[in-house]
Amino acid sequence: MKKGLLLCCFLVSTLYVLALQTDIKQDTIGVRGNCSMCKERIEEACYVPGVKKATWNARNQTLVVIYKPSKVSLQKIVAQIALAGHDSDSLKASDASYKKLPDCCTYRSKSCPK
Amino acid sequence: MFSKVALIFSCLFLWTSSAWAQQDSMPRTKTLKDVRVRHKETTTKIDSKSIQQVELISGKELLKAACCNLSESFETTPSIDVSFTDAVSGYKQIQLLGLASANTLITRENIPDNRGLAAITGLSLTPGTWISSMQLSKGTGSVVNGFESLAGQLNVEWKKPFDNNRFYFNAYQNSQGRSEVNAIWAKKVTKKISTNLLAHYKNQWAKMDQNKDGFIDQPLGDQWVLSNRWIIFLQRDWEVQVGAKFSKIDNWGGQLNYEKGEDQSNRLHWGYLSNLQRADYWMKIGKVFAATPWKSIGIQMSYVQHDEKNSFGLTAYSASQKSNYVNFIYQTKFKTTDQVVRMGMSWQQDIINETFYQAFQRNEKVLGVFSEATLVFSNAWSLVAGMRLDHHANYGFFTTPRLHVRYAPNPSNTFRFSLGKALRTASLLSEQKAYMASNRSWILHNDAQTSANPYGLRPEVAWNTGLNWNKKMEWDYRPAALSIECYKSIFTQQVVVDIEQYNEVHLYNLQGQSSATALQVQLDYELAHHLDLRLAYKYYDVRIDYQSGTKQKPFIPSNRMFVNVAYQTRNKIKLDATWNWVGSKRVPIAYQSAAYLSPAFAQVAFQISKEYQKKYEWYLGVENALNYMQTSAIILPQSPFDPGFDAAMIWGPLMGRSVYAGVRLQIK
Repeated sequence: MKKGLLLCCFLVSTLYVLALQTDIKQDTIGVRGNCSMCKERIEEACYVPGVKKATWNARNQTLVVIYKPSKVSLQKIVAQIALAGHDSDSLKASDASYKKLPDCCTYRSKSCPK
Repeated sequence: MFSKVALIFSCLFLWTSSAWAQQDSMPRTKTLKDVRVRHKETTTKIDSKSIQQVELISGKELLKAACCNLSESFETTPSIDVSFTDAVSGYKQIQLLGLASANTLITRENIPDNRGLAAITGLSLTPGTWISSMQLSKGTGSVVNGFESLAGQLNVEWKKPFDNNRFYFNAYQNSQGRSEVNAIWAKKVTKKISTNLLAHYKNQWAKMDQNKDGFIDQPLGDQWVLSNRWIIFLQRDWEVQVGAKFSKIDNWGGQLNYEKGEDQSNRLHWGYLSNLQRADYWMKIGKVFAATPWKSIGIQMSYVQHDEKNSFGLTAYSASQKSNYVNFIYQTKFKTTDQVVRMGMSWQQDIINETFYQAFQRNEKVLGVFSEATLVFSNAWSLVAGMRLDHHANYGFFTTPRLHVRYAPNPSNTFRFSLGKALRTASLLSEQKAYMASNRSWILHNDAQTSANPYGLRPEVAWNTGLNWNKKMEWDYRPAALSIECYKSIFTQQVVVDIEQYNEVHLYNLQGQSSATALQVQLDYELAHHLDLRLAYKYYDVRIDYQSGTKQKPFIPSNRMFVNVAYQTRNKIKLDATWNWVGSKRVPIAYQSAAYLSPAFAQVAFQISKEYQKKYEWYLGVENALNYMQTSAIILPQSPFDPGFDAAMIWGPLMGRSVYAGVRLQIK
């Protein structure tokens, strides 16, 4: 019982501390992709330590990323996206990573049927 | 104790809301508006659009725990409590809002299931692996599904034959000698006709006595469940579904040295025998008019045949049930599609014959009409108002009004109110079968036993009202959901089960008051990417006027707390941990033991699973990791033929730590 209450208190204080932080930056960058599979892959790739939220929009071909600059840089996030096979404004994915994409996601040659 | 917990939770609420306010004051750019889209499906969520409070429990939620059958599917769902009925039969019962499982209408794709004799046993006849998702609604449900559901409705959706999975296989083994195999084959015969065949086999082969009382903890024996169903899409948008399910349970247990079928009259070894056979047949015909999609007609039909034979030492109980059910529903709009009305007619017949020292025969026939209006006034306000008028062959005419109101002042806050009435004939003997695992005398205080009303008791009539608030938030850029729910059920008529004298069970009509109050606070939060936390607290106050005075209903904990943490690693290993704390319960007087409050206890469960290419998956877990057990669960275990023997005074876990492993295989 006591342990449980302690656990609750611990979690609550953690949340509080997390919410207080001001070291936050938001950037919007262009990232190429096709479908919902791409969306999942791009967003998953972004979640390195320090990244709070990543949302990719297929229509605008943009990614909104919210992160802590003290922990992670935009270059690092962009590198992760390239590693997953997706081109962005500042970095093109290597052919090797691009070739690993499933057929539907080959955004350089075609767009996915909606 | 309660004040302490309330204090903690109010602190939690204050802290978190202040944190929320803090964050709100931070500068935000306009682009954040687009970021609202939730790209991650949570495994359990409350649908903020629906007018009723509905918890959607996805198939993924079920994969978080061992989940062998429906009664074991709620380990990670705090809304439902699960406990053993007694120390010999191995059955588990569920409770919603502090009320027994018979008060929750369980439906299989909206056709009532598990009614009558199967209120408890039926839960183990729906294998967890067959379930694709569940919808749990609290409070009196829709009038379309009948007049019975007082505490809520649990609708179980099975895996569909037109799903893309051609074959599904699951095998499970635990350290307590339980083996299970499940398989599902699906076939699209033509573009419009599809069928699936579902099979389940369970075997308990090891004699376990972990609590050292000389009795087998889980009965030995096996269980089969087989089902086949067809879904046919016809021309002009007609859709037909036909299905059948066959179940068979053959269990035995009791004292460790009891041999199956051993004669009880020489009073040597106390034994438990149970044999159950059940067949369910159903058919659904429906049409949604393509040009006018608000208009639809549907007819649901089902037929059930249930036979069971049980013996608990020298006590024998056998029962059979034949039920048929027809429900016709027509849906159309008033003026706009924001004003939809559903109306229809239903017929329900239950022929139940029971033998327990004497014969009890009943034939319940209920014909009813219903109408339900769904009105959406604005994005903020909507309501569902329903009314039924039924004629019961034994009780005459009765009405069932129900109302659900939803108010959502903004997208992140939803308030709901519900009010409704329910009526039900208690299947006394089968619902209280646990007390047959004792040497109590059964005393029925009835007015007049007639062929129409064999128990001679009145039907249970109750009102339920509920208020709840759901808040969606974003803390530190991750979604959080808070829900606070409060429900109260008030019985105007009830069959009271009185076990306040140690060697007797008294059954009588309620004289006075009976109510159940349930409060639940739940917080869901994504602590970090792929790390989900669920915290819940529940408070129950279930009190009944017994002949000996007003008391809390036995074996219901006043307080319960729940923590679940789920994590998924980058290479898709899923980890799940659950901490479940159950507060003390009132335990009535027993032989040479005064009434007492049971100690509070905690149960901890872990599971780890890994999926490969969405085809294979293995899982490994521990249940009751702290190995907490109710000691001396059975009263007088050494002399089970003496009047003081009782195996139904259960407040805690009867099985110790269990390690399990399983595999799942899917072929597209």
